[in-house]
Amino acid sequence: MMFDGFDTRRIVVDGVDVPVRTAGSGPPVLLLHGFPQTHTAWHQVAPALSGEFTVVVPDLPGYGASRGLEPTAEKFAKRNLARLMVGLMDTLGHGRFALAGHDRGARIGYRLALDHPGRITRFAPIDILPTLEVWEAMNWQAALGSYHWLLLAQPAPLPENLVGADGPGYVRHLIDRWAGHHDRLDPTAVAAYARAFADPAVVAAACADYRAGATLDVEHDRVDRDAGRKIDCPVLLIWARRYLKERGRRHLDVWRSWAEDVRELPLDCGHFVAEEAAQDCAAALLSFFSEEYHAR
Amino acid sequence: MIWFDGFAVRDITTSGSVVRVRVGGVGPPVLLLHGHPETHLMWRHLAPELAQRFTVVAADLRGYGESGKPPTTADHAPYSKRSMALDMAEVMTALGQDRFAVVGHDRGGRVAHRLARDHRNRVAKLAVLDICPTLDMYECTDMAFARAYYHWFFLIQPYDLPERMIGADPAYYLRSKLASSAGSDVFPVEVVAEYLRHYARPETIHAICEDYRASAGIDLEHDRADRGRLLDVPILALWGAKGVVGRTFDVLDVWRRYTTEEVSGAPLPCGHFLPEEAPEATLAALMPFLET
Repeated sequence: MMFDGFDTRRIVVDGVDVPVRTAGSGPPVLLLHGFPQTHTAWHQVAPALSGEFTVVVPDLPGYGASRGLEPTAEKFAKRNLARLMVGLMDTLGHGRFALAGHDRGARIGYRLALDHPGRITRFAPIDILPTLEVWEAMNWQAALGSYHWLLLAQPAPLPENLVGADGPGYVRHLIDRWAGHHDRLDPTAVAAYARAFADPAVVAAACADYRAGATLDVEHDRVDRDAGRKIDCPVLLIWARRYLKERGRRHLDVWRSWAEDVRELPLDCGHFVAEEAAQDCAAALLSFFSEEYHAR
Repeated sequence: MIWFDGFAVRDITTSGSVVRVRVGGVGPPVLLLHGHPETHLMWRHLAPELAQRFTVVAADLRGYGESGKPPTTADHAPYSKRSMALDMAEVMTALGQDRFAVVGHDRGGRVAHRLARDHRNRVAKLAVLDICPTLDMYECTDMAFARAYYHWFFLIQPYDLPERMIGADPAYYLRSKLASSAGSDVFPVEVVAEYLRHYARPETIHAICEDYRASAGIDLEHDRADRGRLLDVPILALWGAKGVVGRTFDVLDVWRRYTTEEVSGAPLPCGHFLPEEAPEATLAALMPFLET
């Protein structure tokens, strides 16, 4: 059974209903999943971390079983989602915490690190580059590969209708396309991801998330970069060799313009790192997050 | 509502397909090629006016409207602009027209451009409406262009993702495409119904996706092979003042790199669908170009 021994709770943060799994004891770790998934993406990594850490695994606002966030770009700006995640951790009594985020969850993670300095002890973004960097590198090959960034950010209700015609089918399409080792994805988990997108509310949330990613998030990134603001905690970039291809500039160098202390771990898998390379991913996070405490 | 009053309807068999044309008027020949998501019906305002001075041939492109939708291949060659242009060269031959002017909008503009390059002695003049050449458009892609032209990247996704997503509700997709690209609401109910009659067919949606897939692959290969080989025909480029093309490019400057002859043109006060949104202005620009 997935998340065996975890507590399942629903926490209301600023009117948004956030289902969250928690387990373990020790320093807190927040795990944020990506698109088009749910908290279930951490079903292997979370138990592995719970031996040493207090693990907190929410559905992102609007995704999975989370409801109550109006699907607008303002509400789904990573700035607002990061604020909600801080509120979640406050409610659970965690002032400072480590954070690993995959995909959209990693975008919330770096925004949280920039907007709330001192709250994150260590940050592990998985398989992304900062939003502004992605847009600035957009050429036609990139646009072809990331066409969902363009489609989902179109004005409502175009993508809502196109994706919503068969939300679960769309999720399966993306997973087929982005996975490197499809056989390492648990069919029960994939079914859960697909099922979530049968609800138009989740489709609308994802579209709002990407609309923010094409507008407000870009502007917020630009303001930080122009101001020379950087992430003030150690960063471990874990990236998938079969997904986040290096064309020209190295990913590590890109991230080094956003944080002082960055190291990297490329893994031989597709985009769903926490599931396709669960053991390597969990081991890397355990070691990275533990350093904080061993160093004291 | 009678469209193309006095025009004859013909279905002309080419080496690769069957092409539906409307033919009317007398005078020097002018071939009119429509774009996406439309059919030759988009020329309903202009064709009767042009027919007073010219022999007007308004065709449905391969894959669109009543024209044939031959099976595709892995390299999308049946929907390459080269194949679609060859259709048109053969149509004009069948109509007894050796040398003619071509006016193309949107996808039809790309076919017209390829027609002029592949059949140099056949095309006397080229008018392109609201496009820059495909290669320039892809090569200039940045954040702003990618967001504005998202459908270029959506429609070329592997079979059959876009086919399924559009096919779930073709009427919705067609209407949103017309509305989002137009500068104003200029599509009467009966016109939309006629466009939809074709757009609602799964084979049309598939052919359209293949047209776009070809443009991101085989068409670019053909375009690259022709780089530096200039046309020797005058080009008239018109574009919508409210549209993406004029915002992204110095349109006349781009087209000047494709011909040794004169390039003229201007933005018209409308969005993407010039002949329907601003028929009088479009006609006023086309007439002197075609007559001289």
